Amino acid sequence: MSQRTQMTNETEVLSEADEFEALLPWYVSGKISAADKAKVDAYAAKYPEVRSHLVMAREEADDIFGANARIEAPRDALEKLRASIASSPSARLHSLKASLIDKLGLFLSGLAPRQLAYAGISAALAIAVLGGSLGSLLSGGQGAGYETAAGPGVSAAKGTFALVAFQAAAPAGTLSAFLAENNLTIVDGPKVGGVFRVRLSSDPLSKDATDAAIAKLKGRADLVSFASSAPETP
Amino acid sequence: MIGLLSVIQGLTLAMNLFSDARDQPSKSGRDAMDQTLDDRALIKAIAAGDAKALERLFTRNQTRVFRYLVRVVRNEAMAEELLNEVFLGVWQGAGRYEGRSEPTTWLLSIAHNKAVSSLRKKREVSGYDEEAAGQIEDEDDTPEVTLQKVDKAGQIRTAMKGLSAEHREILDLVYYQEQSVSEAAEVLGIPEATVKTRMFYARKKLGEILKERGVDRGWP
Repeated sequence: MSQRTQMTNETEVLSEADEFEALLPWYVSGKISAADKAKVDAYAAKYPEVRSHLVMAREEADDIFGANARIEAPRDALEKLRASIASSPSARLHSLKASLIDKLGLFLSGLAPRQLAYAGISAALAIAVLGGSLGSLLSGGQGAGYETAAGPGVSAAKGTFALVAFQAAAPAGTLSAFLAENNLTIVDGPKVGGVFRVRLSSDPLSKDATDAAIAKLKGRADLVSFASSAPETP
Repeated sequence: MIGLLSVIQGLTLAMNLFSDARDQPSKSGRDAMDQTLDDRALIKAIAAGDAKALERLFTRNQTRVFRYLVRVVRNEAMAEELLNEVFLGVWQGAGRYEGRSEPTTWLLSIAHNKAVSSLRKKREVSGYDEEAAGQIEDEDDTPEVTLQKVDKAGQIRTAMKGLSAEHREILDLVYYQEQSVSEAAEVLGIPEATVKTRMFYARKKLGEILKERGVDRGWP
C-alpha cells in the first residue's frame, strides 16, 4: 500500500520492550494467543512502570471505536448490490441452472422406473449441455458445448465429426469439463442407441489426427462407451 | 402496572441494543460464534446461487466492512463503490471460500485487496499521494475539529490522520475489527511477525505525532 511504511524495517526482530508495546492492542482486545499474553504479563511483572502503557492502549482502542461508530453505512447500498448481481454473469448462470434443473425434475418425475433408467444418459447429457452452455455464457459464447439449430453460429455441417455414446453413469460435471477441455461440441442427438454426433474440430482433420481424437475419446472409458469417426454429412 | 411497563421497556431497549450490536464487532464470545456459524452457512448458500443469502450476509456485515473501507481509503464515495465490489466478489467467488478462516476475516481480506488496488489506481491516475496528504497539517479545521484537538481523545483521532494507510489499517483491524495476529496476517497477506512489527511502528508513529502536538504519553 505504501512505500513509506515499507521503508521502516518490518522484518526486523523486535526487542522485548518493543514487542511488549506491539502486543498491547491484542492484549486489550482479548484476541491474543496464550504465548503472547504470557510475554506481556512477564514483561509487565519485570518492569512495573510500563503497566501504565496498558491505559494508553485502552485509550487508543476507545478512540478508534468511537471514530468507527461515527461512520454510517450507505442507505441504498443493498439496492445497488441487487442491481449489480442481477447483471453479473453468475446471476445468469444460477438462474439458468435452476431453470434447467426444475425442467429436468418435472420430466423425470413423469417417467416410469424403466423409462427413468433409460433416460439416465439423456439427463446426464442434458446437464453436460447445460455445462457447455454455461461455459459459453461466462466466456462470451466461445468454446465447446452444445449447438442447436437455433443456436448462434450454426456451423454443424463443417469440420470433422464423430459418433459418440456416453456412459450413463458419467458425472455431468466431469463430462462437461471433458467436452470443454477438448473443444468438443455436441451438434446432434441422441440418435438410436443414445449416440450423439460430436464435432471434433471445425476444420477438416487428417486421418491420423481424427484417429488420435477418437482414441482420446475412447481413452476416457469412464465417460465414453462408444466412439467412431463420422462422415461430414450426417 | 408501571413496574410491568418498565420491564417491557427495558426488554425492548435491550433487544434494540442487541439488534444494533449485531453489525458491530462482537464483544460476546457466544454472539461471535453464532454469527460465524450463520455466516458460514450463508456463504455456502451463496456458492449455490442463493441471492437472498447474499443479501443477508450483506445486511449483517455491511457496516463493519464499510467502516473498514472508509478508514483505509478515507473517502466515503470510494468506500461505497468498494463495498459493492466486495460483495459482488463474494457473489462470484463464494465457492472458493474453504471455511478455514473466519467469515469476517475472509470478507476483510477481500476488502483489503479492493482498497489496495483502488488506492494504487488513484495514485497512478492522478499522481495524488493520499498518504503524504494525510500528514499535512490541516489548515481549514472546522470548529468541531478544533474542539476535538482540545480533548485527549480528539487529539488521538486527529493524530491518526497523520498515519499512513497501512498504519491506520493495522490499528483499525486490531482495535475495532478485533482481528488476532494470525487473522490480521491473513487479511493483509503478510507474515505474523510483520503484523507485530507494523503494529509497533504504527503505535510509535502515533505517539510521535501526539508528542509533536504537545501530548506526551510517556512512550515512545
